Amino acid sequence: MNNKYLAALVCGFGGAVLTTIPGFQSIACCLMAPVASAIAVFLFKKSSPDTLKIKTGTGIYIGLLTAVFAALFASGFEIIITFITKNSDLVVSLPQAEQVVKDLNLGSAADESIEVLRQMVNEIQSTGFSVLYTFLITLTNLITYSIFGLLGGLIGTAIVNKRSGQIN
Amino acid sequence: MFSASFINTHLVNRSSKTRIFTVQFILLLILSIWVFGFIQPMLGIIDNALVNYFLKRTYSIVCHQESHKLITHAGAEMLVCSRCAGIYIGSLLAGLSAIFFTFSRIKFKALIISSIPLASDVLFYVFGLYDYSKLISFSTGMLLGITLYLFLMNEVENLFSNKN
Repeated sequence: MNNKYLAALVCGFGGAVLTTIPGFQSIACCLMAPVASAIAVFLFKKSSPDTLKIKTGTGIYIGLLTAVFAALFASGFEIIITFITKNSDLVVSLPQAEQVVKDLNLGSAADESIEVLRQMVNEIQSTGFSVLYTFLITLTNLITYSIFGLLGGLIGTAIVNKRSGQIN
Repeated sequence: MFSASFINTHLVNRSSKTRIFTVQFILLLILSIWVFGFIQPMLGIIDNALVNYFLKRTYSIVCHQESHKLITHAGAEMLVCSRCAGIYIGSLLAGLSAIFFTFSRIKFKALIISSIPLASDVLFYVFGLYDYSKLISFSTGMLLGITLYLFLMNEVENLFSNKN
């Protein structure tokens, strides 16, 4: 396998595993995806001794790949955990959402959306799986991780090149 | 407007300048959408519970969202903590300023230095030297956000210049 893909796969998987640790979010905040991407760039450099300097475009590509892998693995882990436990943060937060909608009296559109949420919760509680929930968590993970992965790739490249003494 | 932008004209040619401006514009657009997303509950524009749930979930990926650390207004809370809000709003402000003003090149060392106040705030809070202050978290986050944006634009400039 190409070094780029291997580094991205390893770091993406590692980052996704970390997201399953309870309380990890309160420590890592927004750093998981950028750090994983930066480490992927570092690993790529290590595994390619002939490469004197990593191009910024390559760094961004590795960062994006790492983020996509992390998002897919994180979504996969969440789907598996939801399937096993028949519970998710949506199930926990639904009563709050219902209360907010009731308090604010937002109208029929809000009621309809609450109905969709209830349907998803019912599916999760009965079968442990909801197609819409799976699609939406994968989509949100892909968008968020990709943005932060790009940044991580860019910063990682700058750090790695600086360390190599190749940057001006 | 272009000539007064962030782009260092002596380093890049005209086609690179256009590409850098395009990246700058896209980055600003993404940042604006991102900032709009987390202040949306305060504006109360989206009343769809499904969209609101997934917005909250999206930001929960990148922020702990502990309620006592969120900036609140009229009973509505932002979807990210004060520190994260500072970073994103700082980046957005730097991005907007970079359209009208020229900034000198930011080195990686400057990024490290600007992260020291934020890291100190985290450490001082964790070790109990003082209670959590939204103002301190926001302002230290903002400092890092501004520097981070300018550093990123430097790297984008490097990408499109002949250095690579």
